[in-house]
Amino acid sequence: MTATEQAKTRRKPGQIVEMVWDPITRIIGNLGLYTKIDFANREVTECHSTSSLFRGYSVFMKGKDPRDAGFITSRICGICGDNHTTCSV
Amino acid sequence: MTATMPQPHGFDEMHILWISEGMSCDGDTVSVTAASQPPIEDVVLGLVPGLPTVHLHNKVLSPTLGGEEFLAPFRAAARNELEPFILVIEGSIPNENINGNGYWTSFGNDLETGEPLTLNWWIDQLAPKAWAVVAIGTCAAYGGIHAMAGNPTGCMGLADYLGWDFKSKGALPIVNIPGCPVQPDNFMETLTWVLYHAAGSAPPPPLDELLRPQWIFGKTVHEGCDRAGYYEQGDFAKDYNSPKCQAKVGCWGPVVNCNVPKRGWMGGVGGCPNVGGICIACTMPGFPDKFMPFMDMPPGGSLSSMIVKPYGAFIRRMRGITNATANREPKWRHNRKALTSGYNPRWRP
Ligand code: SF4
Ligand code: SF4
Repeated sequence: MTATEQAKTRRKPGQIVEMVWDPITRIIGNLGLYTKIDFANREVTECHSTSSLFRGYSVFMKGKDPRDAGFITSRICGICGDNHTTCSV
Repeated sequence: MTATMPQPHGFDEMHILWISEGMSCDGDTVSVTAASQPPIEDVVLGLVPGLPTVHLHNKVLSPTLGGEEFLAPFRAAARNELEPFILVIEGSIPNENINGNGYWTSFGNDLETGEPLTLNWWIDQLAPKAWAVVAIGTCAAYGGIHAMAGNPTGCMGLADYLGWDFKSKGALPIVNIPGCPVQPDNFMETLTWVLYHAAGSAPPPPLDELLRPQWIFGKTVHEGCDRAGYYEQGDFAKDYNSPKCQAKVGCWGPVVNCNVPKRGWMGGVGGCPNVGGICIACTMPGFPDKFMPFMDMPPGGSLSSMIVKPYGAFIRRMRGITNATANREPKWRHNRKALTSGYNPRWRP
């Protein structure tokens, strides 16, 4: 084994840094990311995402006129409303 | 400025704390990026004369890295360390009294306990400290889609939550700018008015009893609609491919307060019924339940369209005849060797 290959495989002592972005900016929706990153070994050791919003679309759409579905589901997302409309048809 | 002109006594700087963590789709923020009267960029960059310097804190439009860096001004305001600010709320307010053991929506966490801070906590902290409180979109104004019948969150509009007689520190009531989403220029125009008021150079914006800007919501969709002439002539679309009046295929325009057909959507283009979309009454406090099923003819529409039909059919015939006459040039416009216009050189006044 050459020295360079050894350096590649040998783990450096971990320097785990906790990094949190909650809320995430520049995108819509309630999104948070909770991570632990080992920068020395270039590894994300833990990552959780959370969406801290419940509106209940699948609940309040029950019993509504099916032709209204597209008008309602388009309000799921302010960026890609048309996708949700199309998917509801 | 000359010495005789008194300087308005107002704020030189204003923060805008914009929380879109209500029951929303954040579509109002997205919509406002399309504004041009004035563009939000111009307001933030100080290009609109006479406005205070604006510091905008909005999640989607934030230059920060997010997380705590983004939350910092909100936390500072809650600690009384940042003023003056305008609080903009986007999305309806859930009822956290019925959340079981959980919560409906949150915005950041408590730094000590790590527990989520609910939208309601933020409103309770910030609304009493805000110089003005603005509800953007129908959800924040009245409840909207997420507050429709059968909803599990018990959500409501901001005025239902804070009380309709709420007054901000600047002595303003809540300013509601409904629309699902809000028409971009309707919001920016109203915000600009509030900012001029903050600068001390304009009176408070005139609001109606539902706290909407009067000059925007004082007329109906129908009164500004491109297709209103078809309605008057009793000429109705039978399907969605027609350029005629859509009253019989579900348009609620005649009873809805909204200026969108007049203003258009982006740069004057668009405007629901103008471009073939039935008005589903998205600006209204009764939205959506009172207008569903959207694609059925509104109950009042069958009566009024029935009455207008015989009149319309007759008047259309008569106008057809007049129109044919109007489309012919007068007979004295010719190249013959005679003047037949009726010109009389001996005539004197
Ligand atoms: S399309 Fe709607 S708003 Fe336009 S004229 Fe017909 S009923 Fe009125
Ligand atoms: S015209 Fe009707 S559907 Fe369109 S924005 Fe106005 S209220 Fe909403």
